[in-house]
Amino acid sequence: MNDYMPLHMKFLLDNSKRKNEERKRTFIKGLPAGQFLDDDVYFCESKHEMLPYKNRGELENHLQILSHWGAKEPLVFFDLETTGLSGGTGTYAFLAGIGMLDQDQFIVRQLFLCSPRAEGIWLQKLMEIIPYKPSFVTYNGKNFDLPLINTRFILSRMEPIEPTGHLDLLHLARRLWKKRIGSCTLSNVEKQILGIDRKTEDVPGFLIPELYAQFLKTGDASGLSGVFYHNEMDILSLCMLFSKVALTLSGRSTDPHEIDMAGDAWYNYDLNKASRLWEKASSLTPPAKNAIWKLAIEYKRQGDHCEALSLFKKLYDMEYKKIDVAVEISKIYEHQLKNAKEALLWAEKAMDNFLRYRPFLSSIRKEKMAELTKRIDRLRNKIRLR
Amino acid sequence: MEALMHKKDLTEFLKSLQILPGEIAAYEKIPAQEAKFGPWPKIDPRLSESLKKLGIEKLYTHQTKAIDLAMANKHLVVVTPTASGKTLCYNIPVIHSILQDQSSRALYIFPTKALSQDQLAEINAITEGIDVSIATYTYDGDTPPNERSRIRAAGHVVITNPDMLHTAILPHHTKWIKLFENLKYVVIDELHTYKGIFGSHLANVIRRLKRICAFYGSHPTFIFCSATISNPGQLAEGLIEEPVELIVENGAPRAEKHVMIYNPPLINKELGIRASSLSATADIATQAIANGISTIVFTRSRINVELLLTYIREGLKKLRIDENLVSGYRGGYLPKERRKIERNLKSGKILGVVSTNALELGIDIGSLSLAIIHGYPGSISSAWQQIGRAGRRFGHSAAIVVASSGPLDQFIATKPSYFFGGSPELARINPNNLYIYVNHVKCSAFELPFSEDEPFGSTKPKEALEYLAQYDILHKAGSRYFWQSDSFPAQDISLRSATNDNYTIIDITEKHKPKVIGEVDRPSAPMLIHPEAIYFHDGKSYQVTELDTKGLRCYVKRVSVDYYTDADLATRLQVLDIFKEDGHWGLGEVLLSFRPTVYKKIKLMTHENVGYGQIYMDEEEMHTTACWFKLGKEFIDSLNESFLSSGLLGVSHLMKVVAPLFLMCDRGDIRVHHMVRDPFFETPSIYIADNVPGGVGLADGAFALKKKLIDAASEAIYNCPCENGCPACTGALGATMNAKYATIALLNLLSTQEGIR
Repeated sequence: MNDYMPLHMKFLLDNSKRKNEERKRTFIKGLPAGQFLDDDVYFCESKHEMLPYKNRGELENHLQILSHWGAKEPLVFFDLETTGLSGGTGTYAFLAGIGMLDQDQFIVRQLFLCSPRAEGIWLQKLMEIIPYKPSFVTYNGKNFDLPLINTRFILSRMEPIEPTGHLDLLHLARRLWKKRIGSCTLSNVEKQILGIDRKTEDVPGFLIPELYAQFLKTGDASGLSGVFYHNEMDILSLCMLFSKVALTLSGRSTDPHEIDMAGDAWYNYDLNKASRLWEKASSLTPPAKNAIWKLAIEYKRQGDHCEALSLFKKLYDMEYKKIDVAVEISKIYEHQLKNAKEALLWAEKAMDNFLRYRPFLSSIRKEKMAELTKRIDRLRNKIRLR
Repeated sequence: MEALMHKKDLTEFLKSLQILPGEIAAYEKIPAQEAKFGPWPKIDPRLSESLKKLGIEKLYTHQTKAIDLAMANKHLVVVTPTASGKTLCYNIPVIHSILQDQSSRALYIFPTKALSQDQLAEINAITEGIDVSIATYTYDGDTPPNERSRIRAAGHVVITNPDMLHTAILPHHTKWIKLFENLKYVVIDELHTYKGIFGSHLANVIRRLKRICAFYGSHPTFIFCSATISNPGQLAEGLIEEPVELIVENGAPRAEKHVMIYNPPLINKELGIRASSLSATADIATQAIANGISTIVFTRSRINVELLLTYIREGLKKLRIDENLVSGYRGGYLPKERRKIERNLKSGKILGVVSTNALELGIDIGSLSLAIIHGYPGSISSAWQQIGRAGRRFGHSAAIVVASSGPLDQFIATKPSYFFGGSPELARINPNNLYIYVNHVKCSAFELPFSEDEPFGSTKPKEALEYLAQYDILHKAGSRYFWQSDSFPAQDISLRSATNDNYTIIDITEKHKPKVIGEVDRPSAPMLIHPEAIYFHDGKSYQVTELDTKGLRCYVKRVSVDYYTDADLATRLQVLDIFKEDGHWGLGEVLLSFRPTVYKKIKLMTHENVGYGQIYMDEEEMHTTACWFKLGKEFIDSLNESFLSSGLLGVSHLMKVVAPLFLMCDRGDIRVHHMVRDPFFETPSIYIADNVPGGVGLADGAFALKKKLIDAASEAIYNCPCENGCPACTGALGATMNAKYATIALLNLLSTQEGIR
């Protein structure tokens, strides 16, 4: 062991002149209106009109729709601001935003941690302002906010939260809009889907850890007003998005692609709803060809071959996945309608298309081509034998 | 060589070596030893039954002792040779504890991923026979993300490596509550590998681990296994900073083993030059493989691996034997390539392998009959580890150490008792190396906030915490320090060396198809892959066309040349601080700067110098610890300058060979530097510096040895048969007319000035 080690350290320390000063916590400059719940725990509350919901009935309806994805009462819209994004035990939350729907208003509560030393009390107060048996609505909360807050509970030797439900809107947003808008960050979805533009006082997310670190050093919270605003807006957006997603999932849209995707979202929970949405998506102009394909496959699965056949033919005329579609048609003719001639005709159509694109074939396609060759041989034999 | 009519077995083959032109300097038969059994431990009957089903009905004395101690929750270290059943020493108490209490957990730490895989198979063999589910998983970089959460919650035994523990487990400890709340045993195998930097890092990782365990209320028992080193107990105690029980006597039976030291013939007595040990090694290996004897060849450097591979393959070709029966195996090969070689060795698809010490570790490569060790590997324990690679599974085996013309090898060839009866080396760590220490305090603060007076292992980290707080990495509030930086500290800290980066070697012989063929760690780059250097890979030679020092890429092209390159490094040294002084010896902090200047082209086979070239690379700097000794001022006037300079050159060359022997380190782990007129001390001096930022205690070790180093150097040069100095003893540049005389004279002066004091 090196007993001279501390000498070095002193040398390094003396080089730095900054002093780590303790400050008095009785008053913190620049905090938004609110109150201290404890020495280092600050609370603010704001009330808003129930923007997306004119009446309780509409909310009930949306809850019903989104219950398949984890929505339940009491809904708690939840979002954290943290000291970093890297995860692990070194990142902590300093601002928790909670949104709740009251009879006729939307209440946003924010709990601010003025110093990490008070984290235990902050977490206790947080449990107090979250309703009993909550169901969370978050944006990427399953991966980030919930594991992070639970890590904090464990470190303070408290019980982790286990919400009775958890709707993570990121997953649905990705499904519904990824293709259209690309990046599905909350701010981009807000801008492009909800049409909300934040005020200039908002701060971009990546600056937030640094602003909090500044506050800890200086004790001046005025730099954080943008963070409080950002967090409050996130909660409001979550509520707006909740409604927008529910509407989209119920088919209230004019965009065929969006309706098609809504159909996909329902596929695992309610096949009927999925089919109805695909039908709607294929009846609009321009029709969502993907939706027609899925519909046709679904009819085929249910044994409605005529309906399936007419949809596949419609797709072929639309020049959609010509090879696959022609093969499907050929299969129906061969196996269901027992019409080998017609089946061969369609199989050959598929082959024509293959040959046309031959130079660009991937290995999977080549396998398919081999299969098709076999199919054609078999059909020719059948016809010859007759 | 002629084609072989009759294949010799091992005994016949060893006899046939008598006709070799050189000298068999030593031939020892290590006798077989009977097994010694201990009483069956008081373990769960289900476990006893499962072991009996596997044919384990009795346990060796060292196993029963280890099991009893582990069950009594005493930290312990078992020192075991290869194939003595060390895994049972920990698998039995661990499985027993899980059978007694299903919530009980164990953590196994192996230095490499390959070893973890072998271990998993071993433990599964035992647990399969038991009707209770004991979940064992490896958790490393290859573990699929979707399996990780299950392992975290349900793994009874988690097998991992220090790097994963450091970057993936400890910083996410809240996800591992089940493990940390119930951690009963921590098993650390291959203890002897945790020396130097790696060990110093591990000691700090263990400080972090113990801190987290304490948070969750567990106090695990540590079980270490080690190959023979002289201070296993001290090393284990250094790693966990608690008393550790030591078990050294081995109860396992041993088959007879023949160990031979072969010294190639002297071809120039005046210059002390012997026939090339490389060719001698290649010849013996070729013959062995040709006779169907499974053989492993160890050599010290990567370049030697490639050279030997080339020679052996050529030899086999001449005998009309498939040259692919032999394969290379070293650090620079890609992991996939290495796994394939391991498989082929096990299955017998290849008969011979040429390796650096990468294979020294207990990777299971099946049983080999013969180990050929090209050149003394630098430490006794390393040598015995390599010798142990032959004959792991069954009987009769042999090892041949081929001495190079280096003074140390010659020293051993003339005094084999040093080798057969000598005590193995010390493994040193320095957990409080400033760079390493502060980095782990950082990681630990990320994992759990520190209180002002909280210890970190045996240290008080307050000053480090203050330092980190002043750079805004931590935030001090009340009497505690909280992580405040938006970063993940463990990611930037590599346990394996002080610098994290590797150069990727890219073959651009075919312009449109660049191919990655290997990697070289950054510190070796100036020597190995400077522009125009010849780089060997898998027996083929490549020339470096471009070294991208920013992107850490090295572009090479296939070339057909009959030489290799050897770079010279220009070094400057500056003393910054003196920690300790004792007579003419001192220890302190230094600034080393070095830059490769020229490279020599050395012809294959004959090793003659056939040209040189300039190297243009930037200078690199390093703060480190160094030990120095100087010549008293009173002598300077009486010595002439050229005499002094060739003497110093000789002594510093001898230090390069002798010091690693006592410090149990690789030659590359230290740097020796000398100055005829030292600007700091104003007297001729020689420095032995740690080749690692901050130092890992090698210089401290050299300082503690002092006169012993001088004595060993004297002994080495007296034993060298050359007349006026040779590349082996006084170094290539020192081989002038009176180099040997000057060196000996200087050593005598240094030795007597010690005596005067």
